Amino acid sequence: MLEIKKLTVEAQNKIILNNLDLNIENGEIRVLMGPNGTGKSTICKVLMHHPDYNIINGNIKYDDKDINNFTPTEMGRLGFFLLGQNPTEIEGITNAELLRSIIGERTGKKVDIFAFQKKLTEICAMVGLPKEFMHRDVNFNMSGGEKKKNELLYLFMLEPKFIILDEIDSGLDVDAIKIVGELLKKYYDMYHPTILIVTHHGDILKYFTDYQVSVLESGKIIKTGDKELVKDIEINGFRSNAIGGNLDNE
Amino acid sequence: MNKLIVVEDKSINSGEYILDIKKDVSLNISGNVVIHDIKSDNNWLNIIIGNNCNLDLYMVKKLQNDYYIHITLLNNAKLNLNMLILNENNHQVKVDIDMTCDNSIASTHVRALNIQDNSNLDIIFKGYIKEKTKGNELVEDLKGLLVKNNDTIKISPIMIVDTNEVLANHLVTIGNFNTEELFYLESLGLSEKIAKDMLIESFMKQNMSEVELEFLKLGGDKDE
Repeated sequence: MLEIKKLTVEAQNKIILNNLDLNIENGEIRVLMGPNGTGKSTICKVLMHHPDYNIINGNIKYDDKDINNFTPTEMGRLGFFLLGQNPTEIEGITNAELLRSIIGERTGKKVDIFAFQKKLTEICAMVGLPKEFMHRDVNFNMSGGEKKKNELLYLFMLEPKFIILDEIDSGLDVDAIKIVGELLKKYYDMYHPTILIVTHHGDILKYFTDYQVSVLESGKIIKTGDKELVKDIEINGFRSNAIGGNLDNE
Repeated sequence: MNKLIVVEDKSINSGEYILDIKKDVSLNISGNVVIHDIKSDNNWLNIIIGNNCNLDLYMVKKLQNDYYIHITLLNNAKLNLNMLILNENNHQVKVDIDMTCDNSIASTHVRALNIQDNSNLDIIFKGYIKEKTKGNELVEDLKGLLVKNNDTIKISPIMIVDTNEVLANHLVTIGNFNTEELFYLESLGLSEKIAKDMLIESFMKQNMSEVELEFLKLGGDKDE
């Protein structure tokens, strides 16, 4: 279980999250919504301990372990996986090279190259990427849709248990959202990870049947509900009476 | 792939070559030529790309001394320069690109880093486009990565353009590791050291061909 208590975070001398409380059960799907600039993406990066953000108060625990002072490396090895809006490009390093290094470092063992190659080939086919993508530079010179599929390749290869999706649907057309949504559902059905979804729209949510929604405003959770809350926000925006009716719509 | 040991001025015709340049020489390029210059000992190189000729030049320079390269493009000539500079101690690299005729294209990419603490590298990269010429294009893409303790890289991009009928632009960046790239790799579970090593490798491989990549994989050993 992820437990965030009274978390206050600053970046560049500005408070970004303020006394935030958020609990997410293992295996739960939690959606975070809210107007622009309320700190949704900040939560994603803070959870992965991005160096630009400083926790100045409060506590983050995962399965009763205090992870306040973890590094990004430790979060990755703990099983956390951030899939962002615009995946980082690493020119000159191929997917196969990077994945082999990650798996080798995580396990402390030499990677069985034949088993690795077989799994990578199977997963390329599963996510709809030609197997040549193994030898493409990481996210480099790829379209928006290809980048998201490429990140899903890492997801299935690394099998994380806590997935953070930071506006994964942003910039994707209807067909691409369908592919990404179906693959995420498939991963959820296979591994039952915890998923934190930050989104502006309900489009990606229709691939999941059971989830909770929390609305963020000024760095705090002001309302938590079920999928009915998403419907209400889609119709009435963040001014909806269901969440207090006092938020600026985007 | 032809392997050539160069000990005097030489004309090079269409083909792909690995050069081992033993002296300071001039090369005349004709046809479509690809050169991999990864083994040379020279400190000075002059190249003239003939009318309607193309040169793809890939260089890995492990600096033992200061280095100077001068390239002249004639009418309708094309240059694709990809240069990786690995510096120890204190050295200067000067690159001069002269576009003195019409309709030539020079696309230049330099990546530079120090491989020893307390090293200082100074790069002066000058593109000259002569007056009354037309239709020339020049791109200077110059990047330095600071990875060692107390090291410096200075890059001076200079464009002397004496005509209005030209397309010219330059991009220069010098800095430490990109925070987002480092964060991305670490968040996948890589240690800081391995992540940084990968980013150095990524930087060195940019714009290099298979020949240079194989050379770098072998540690840049000149005897390989």
